[in-house]
Amino acid sequence: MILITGGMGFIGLHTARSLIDMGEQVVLTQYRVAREPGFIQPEIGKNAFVEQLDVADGEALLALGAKYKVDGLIHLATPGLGALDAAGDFRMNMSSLLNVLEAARTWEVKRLGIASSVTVYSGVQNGPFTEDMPLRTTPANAVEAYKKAYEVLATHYAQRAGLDVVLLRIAGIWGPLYHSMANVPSRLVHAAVKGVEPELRGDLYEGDAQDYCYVKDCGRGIALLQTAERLNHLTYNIGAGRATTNKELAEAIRRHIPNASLPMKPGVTLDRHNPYMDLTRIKQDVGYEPVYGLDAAVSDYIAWLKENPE
Amino acid sequence: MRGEGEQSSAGFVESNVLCTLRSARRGGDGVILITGGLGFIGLHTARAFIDAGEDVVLTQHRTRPEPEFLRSDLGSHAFIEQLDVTDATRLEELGKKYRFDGICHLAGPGYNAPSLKADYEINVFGLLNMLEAADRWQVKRLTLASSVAVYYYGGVDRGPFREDMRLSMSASNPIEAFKKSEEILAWHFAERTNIDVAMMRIGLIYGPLHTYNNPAARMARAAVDSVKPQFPVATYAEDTTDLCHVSDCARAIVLLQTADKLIDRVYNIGGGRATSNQEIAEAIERAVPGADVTSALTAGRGPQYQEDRYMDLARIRTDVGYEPQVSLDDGIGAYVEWLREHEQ
Repeated sequence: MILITGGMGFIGLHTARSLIDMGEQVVLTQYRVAREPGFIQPEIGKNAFVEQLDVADGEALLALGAKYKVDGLIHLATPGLGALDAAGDFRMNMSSLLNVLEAARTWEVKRLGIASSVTVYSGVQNGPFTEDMPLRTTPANAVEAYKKAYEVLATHYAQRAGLDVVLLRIAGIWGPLYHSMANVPSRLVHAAVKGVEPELRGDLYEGDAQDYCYVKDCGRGIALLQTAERLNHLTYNIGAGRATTNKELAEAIRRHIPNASLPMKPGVTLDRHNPYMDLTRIKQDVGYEPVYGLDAAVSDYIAWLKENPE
Repeated sequence: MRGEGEQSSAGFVESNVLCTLRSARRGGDGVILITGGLGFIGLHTARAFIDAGEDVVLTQHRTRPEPEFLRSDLGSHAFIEQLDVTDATRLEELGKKYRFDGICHLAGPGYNAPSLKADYEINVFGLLNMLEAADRWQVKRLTLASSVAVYYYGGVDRGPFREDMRLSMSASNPIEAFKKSEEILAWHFAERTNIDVAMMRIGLIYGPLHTYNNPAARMARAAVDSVKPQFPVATYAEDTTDLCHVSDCARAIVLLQTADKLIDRVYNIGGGRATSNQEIAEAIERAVPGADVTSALTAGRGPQYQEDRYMDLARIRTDVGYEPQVSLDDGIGAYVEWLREHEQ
């Protein structure tokens, strides 16, 4: 059984779906948010089990080991951005990491997957970003800081404790159940489906691009890395393997919703070539390939939002 | 204004009176907390602070005999306290007893943590306690010991090592792992809270009180004891380190802690040159006539050899005027003398 911290979250639920499709059973932990989307609801009590858990509570986490036979662990839980002050954020992030490392060791799991982020490549001028690139130690935000600290410490723990750890550098993920609305594709699709103007934090420029990955691809990528017999590396990029411009997003949305209002300015503001993650490792080692092209992803997301208004 | 609870603490009032008296005399207005202050670098750093007119509180995890090194200043300029850095309550007690205006966090388990979990807790949560204390006490600056080890694994092919180099997000040993992650965490905390933090990437430090088993210490000890040095792994004559005498290191720490303003948050502290094991061995042989330590070295370069394996000192030189002053011969000479007076 594979335990996913933050398993009832956005990426967690899609990862759970992929794992169940591969024949696995999952324990999904939630901190506060409770939701059971249609694609997971029929599995609850059969292949998916839900538990309330604060991952910063090490004893509560270990107690789940007595209830379930956990042989795999995926750590996706993360405190909400801006939810805690500097010290609270530090304590929550770093206690959670220690607790999952200790649980993985105690339960002798086959593998511990730990969510990292494309944000670790901040400060690297040009892509494609490869996993072996050296990185800055001067983080600009909480995600960059904690994911980098996670990577260094988990690598070390893995070495010393003989743990099989995989670090998941996850792209900008969008799609069904994404509710924090921090990234552009989800905002644009949401607004288009509702027939309103997108709420944006500043102007959008047509030429600006990022590695945006559809959540179903991401969930499958995580599931493949978690269940592979053996991995050749410790760190893997999980993304679309290409940079999507805002203009491409708008065009894809308008093919489905022709009169969508998606205001953008011409030009480019991000002075960065090829801002996407190289997928050579994950393709070679576990046969991952993003199956949702931009059009398929937009179409799938629009259909979901029409059936499940968020 | 300082935190609540001070008025109710007799200890604080006492030390405050003491501080007021002393500040009239010595120009200081607070005390520097040195965690790990009774360790090798800690004691030399305490000495350098006192020489610079500062008073210090040295904390230690275990109870140790009072160091003869600072005996004349104990109770007047140096105070010793027990502290487990993971114990926030005890730390806050110290904050009520003394009026700290700086924290120099040197404590760490090194290679001696009782378990992997404890290693993580002492390093990571010990750091958090210092960051929170620095913020709560509104100290002028928190200095943190990091290490030249952050440059060693992956990402950096050769020296000289500069503070702005990009590094791999992995590690080959505990020091590298914890120091690198602590730098990242402290940087972020400082960005969010605006506390003044300086991280110190410290080279390979040697000198009196040093008893660790690195090649320099093993060779010096063996020479003094008239035996052949024993190395657990082959030690290559041409392999180098950024070797730095402890009094230079201590002076650099004091400069970084007491500078009015620092332009950066990360500083190299080292000798600023690559010193080979062969050079160290020859200096030891000059200091101990008749000793033979060079023959214990393996000829040539080892598999870990890096070109110019030393730290660039441009930043610390420019910002606080640090310059290493102790030559290899002088440093080894003083170290050998200390070893002669102190049996293993």
